[in-house]
Amino acid sequence: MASVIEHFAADHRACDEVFARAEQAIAQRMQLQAADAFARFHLLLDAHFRAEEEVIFPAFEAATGMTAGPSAVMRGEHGEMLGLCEDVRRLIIAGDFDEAGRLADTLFSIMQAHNMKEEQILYPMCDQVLSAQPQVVADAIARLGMPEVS
Amino acid sequence: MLEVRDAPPLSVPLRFFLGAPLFGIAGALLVLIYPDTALASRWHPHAVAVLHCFTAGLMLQAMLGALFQVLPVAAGSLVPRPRLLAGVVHPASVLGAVLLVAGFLLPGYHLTGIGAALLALACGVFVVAIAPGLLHATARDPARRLMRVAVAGLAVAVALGFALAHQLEHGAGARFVTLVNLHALWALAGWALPLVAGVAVLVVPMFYITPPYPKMLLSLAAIALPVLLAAISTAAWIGAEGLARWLALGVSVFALGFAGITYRLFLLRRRTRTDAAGSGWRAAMVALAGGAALLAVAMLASDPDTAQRAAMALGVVLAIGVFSGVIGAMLQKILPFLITLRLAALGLGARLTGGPGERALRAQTWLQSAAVLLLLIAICLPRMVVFAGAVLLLAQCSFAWNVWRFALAYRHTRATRQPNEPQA
Repeated sequence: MASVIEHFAADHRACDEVFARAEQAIAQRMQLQAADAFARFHLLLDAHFRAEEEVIFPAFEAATGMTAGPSAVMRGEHGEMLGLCEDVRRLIIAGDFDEAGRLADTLFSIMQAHNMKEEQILYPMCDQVLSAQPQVVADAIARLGMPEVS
Repeated sequence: MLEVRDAPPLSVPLRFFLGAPLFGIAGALLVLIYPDTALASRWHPHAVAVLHCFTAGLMLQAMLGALFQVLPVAAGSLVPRPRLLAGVVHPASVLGAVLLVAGFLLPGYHLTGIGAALLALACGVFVVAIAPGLLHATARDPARRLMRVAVAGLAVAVALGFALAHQLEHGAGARFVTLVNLHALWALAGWALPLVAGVAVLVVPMFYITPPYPKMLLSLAAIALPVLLAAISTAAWIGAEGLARWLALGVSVFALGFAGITYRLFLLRRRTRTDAAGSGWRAAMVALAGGAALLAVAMLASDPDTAQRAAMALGVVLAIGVFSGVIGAMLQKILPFLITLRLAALGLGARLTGGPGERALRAQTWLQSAAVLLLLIAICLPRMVVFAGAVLLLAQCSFAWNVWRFALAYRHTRATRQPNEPQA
């Protein structure tokens, strides 16, 4: 059976890679490349959060009854990170690369702390409680990665 | 079961981090107050006082604060009642370090003994409190193993230090020199080095998007290091000094290997944006490689004067260049990181306004490196001691200013920003 920790942790690394490209473009003050790379990162991150919030977390909460536990904390942090993504996007468009770089650094730090908590604590718990629901895990994994843009 | 919310309140690590640079400033001031003796010999009380400002003061404070933070979330090891524990450990360790250093400067008042007892109390309480969690930690990686080694190394180093303080108060015994060497070995190679390695395994790949450290190699090293230290200690204790010296080269190999791997990972990092903290890490790894070479010289040199100077230089390089350098670099990353997490948790948004800028952080890194180089020169050219001490003072003030500016920015942000959502 596919595991949450294996696929979702790998997706964390994929997000990191795309973030690094965006950050490099911001540092080089290349507005178009920075905007494009950051938009790709934003989409990838959003797809990751949706897979968790719409599939994994509800199944985890239903199985454990923990609606105000670790999954609730993670939801709150998702909102915080998406808010920061929006701020960075606006700063890139405004051409304020110094502030965009500083805020992207903050976003990256929060993202790493968040990922660590998920990988150390929440994902192992999810794999444990969702072991009888392989279809749920497979559905969530299928949602990871860059979404199709029409 | 470990919970996401097991991270301690921000005030717990912060109280340790805010006080740590004061010990660095005190150490630099002592170099300026006693320029003729502070770097003259590793046995001079003024040199011992300077060294302990950095080890028992700056390093111990920062590393205790870091362990409170890192153990629960990153190593999967619960720290019970962190606020209460910090309430005991922090004042005892601060007062202990102050009295210990004062005792080296003012012999005859039993300050060394009282200071060592307070440090033993602080570290003993801390180790006993975290040991069950660390032994049953859920994380399965080299970081946890290295942190276990570090905590055990801290206990041994403090116990040896307490025995030494007792001898200083009641007359040195026949094995005083052996005890001093073993105390230094366990403090630097048994506690500080594995702790820095354990933290690096976690944070370097995470913050800089590097390949991971080689797990197998570090896991083996985490087993080999305490065995090696125990073998060195046994050899030294039974009088096999020659064997102990050769075995100590194994510590050099570990240090050199860790420095080399870390430096290489920085070269392979995916985040190419240069920052002061990354520069600080790299400078500390260069210093660690130099420290490994100096240890070999100190152990194997046949000329006593060369061995003596190498031992002095080793103390400067390890305590100030490597460990204080890594701590300065780490706090540049960890403080804004913890503060933004706290602000976000309070519903105040994650943006910290008013912290130190990149230029101030770079100045700290450069001053730190310059101070280490100048101190090394001053060991050979004593007329440079005052200049080296002045640069060291600037470096430590810069470190303190940056740390406190993060804290002041946090305070200011909390006071002026309105919550955008109800607090949890």
